[in-house]
Amino acid sequence: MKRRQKTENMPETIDHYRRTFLKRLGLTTATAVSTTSAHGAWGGKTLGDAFADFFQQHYQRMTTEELKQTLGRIERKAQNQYGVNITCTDTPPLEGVVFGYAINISKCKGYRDCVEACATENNLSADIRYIHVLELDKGSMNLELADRYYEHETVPFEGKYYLPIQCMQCDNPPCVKACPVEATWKESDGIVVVDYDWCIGCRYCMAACPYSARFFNWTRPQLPAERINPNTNYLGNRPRPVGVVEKCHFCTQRTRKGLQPACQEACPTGARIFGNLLDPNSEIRYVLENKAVFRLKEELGTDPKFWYFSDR
Amino acid sequence: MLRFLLAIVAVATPGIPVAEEADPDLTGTQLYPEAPRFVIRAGNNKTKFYKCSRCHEEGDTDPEPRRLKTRHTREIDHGGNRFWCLTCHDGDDLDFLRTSRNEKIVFDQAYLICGSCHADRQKDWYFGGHGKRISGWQDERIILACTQCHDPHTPAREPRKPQPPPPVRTGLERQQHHPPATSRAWEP
Repeated sequence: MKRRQKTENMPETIDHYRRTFLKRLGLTTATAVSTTSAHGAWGGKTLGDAFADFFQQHYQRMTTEELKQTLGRIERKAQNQYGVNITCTDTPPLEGVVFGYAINISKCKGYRDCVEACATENNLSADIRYIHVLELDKGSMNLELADRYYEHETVPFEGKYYLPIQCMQCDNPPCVKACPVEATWKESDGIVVVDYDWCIGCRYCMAACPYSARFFNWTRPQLPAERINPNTNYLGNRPRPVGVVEKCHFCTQRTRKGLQPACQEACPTGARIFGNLLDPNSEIRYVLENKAVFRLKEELGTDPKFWYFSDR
Repeated sequence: MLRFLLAIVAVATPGIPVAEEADPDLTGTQLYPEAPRFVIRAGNNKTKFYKCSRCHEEGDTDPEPRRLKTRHTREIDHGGNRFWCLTCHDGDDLDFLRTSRNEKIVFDQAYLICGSCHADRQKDWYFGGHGKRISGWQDERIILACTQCHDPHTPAREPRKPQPPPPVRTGLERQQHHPPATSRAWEP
C-alpha cells in the first residue's frame, strides 16, 4: 500500500520517464566517449568495438560480413591485451574429411614433447594443458591409479607405460548435449569445437566429459607476449577470454590446411597417427583395419574418434 | 617413370629435401604395390664427406667375419652378435649396402635390409603404421627411413629426460591417489 502511495505521488506521465531515461543515457554516453581515449574504458576497446562485442552473434549464425568484422575485432583485442599482432582467420571444415587419431602405446615413451608443442601452438594459459600423459604400471589399465605428474630423471621408467589422453572428439559427444547455450558443437569433419565468445562458462560440459578433456579459464589466460603464436583461427587457438571453457580441437588452424596437428609433428617416436577416416588409403585406416585397437570408456557410447593400439 | 614421379614430388615440396633413389625398382613398389606412395626425406650428408671409400679402396675388403680393431668406433649392439659389417655393407663397394637378396642399394634404402628380419615392422612402415611422417596428413607422404630414427648399429633408443609435468592451478595441490582397494570390507 505504501508503495502504491509513493507511486501516486510521483508524476505519472510517460514523458517524465522518457526524459529522465534520455538524460541519464546521454550523460553516461558522454562520459564514456570522453573517457574512451584517455583512460582506455571498455577494456581498452573503442565504444564501437565494445557494442559490437556485446551484440556478437553465434559463430554459426554470423554472416560473412559479420564474421569478417568479428575477426578484425579479435585481432585488435589481442593487440590491446598482449601487444601482439595476430592474424585470426576462419577455417571451415574440408569436404569429404573426418579426422581420426591413433596412438601406439608401445611407442609412446612419456617424453611429453607433444604436451609442450600443443601448449605453444595453441596459446594455452600457463595452468592449462590439453594433453596429459598418464603413467601406468605395466599390465594395468586402471585409469584411477594413473599418475600424470610423474617426474623421473629419464623416461621410459622401469615397469611403466604411458598413455596420452586428450579430447577424443567423440562422434556422440556428451559435452555437446550438456551445453545449455549450444556454444559447443561437432563440425562436419568430426571435430568438436567451442565458440569461446558464446560460452557462458557454466562448466556443464566439463562435468559431462568422461575424459576430463575440457578446461576452464579461471583467470585471463596467462600468456607472455613473446610466446603467443600469431597464426590463429576463430574456433581454435585465438587468445581466449576469461571464464570460458576450452579443449583440444585437433589443431583446426593447422589440420584444415593439410598440416599435421602440433602434437603429432612434435612426437619424436612416431607414436601418433592422424588422418582422414574417409580415405581408404590413409595411415589411420591401415591402423584401424590391421591393428588391435581400443578406445577409452567405449562402454559409455560416446564413440570417440581416438584409438589406441600396441605393437604386441 | 618412377624416378620421374619422384622428381616431381621432390620439386612439389620445397623445404623438405627428398632422398634420391639409386634404383627405382627397389623402392618397395614391388614388395607392397598396394601401399600408399611415399618419399623418404634425404638422409644427413655425413656420407658425402666421410665416405667409406675414402679409406677403403675397391676390392681390398677382407670378407672374413671378425671383430674390427681399427677406428670403426661402433660396437654392434644389434642382432645378438650374429652380425658383422658385411652383413649389411657391400664388401665390394663400401659406399653402398647389399641386401640378403644380393641387391646393391644406397644408404637411404636401408629399409630393404631391415625388412629381412623385421618383416612385420617393415610392412607397417610401408603402410604408415610404424615410423614418422613429416609432411602434412594429406598430399605427398614424406616419411623418415628406419635409419633416420634408429642407429642401425644400436637400434634401441636411449631413455631421456621428459618435459616438465603439467602445472597445477594456484592454490590447489596435485591430485593424490588413494592406494588400491585391498583393505578389509566395511563393517558396521
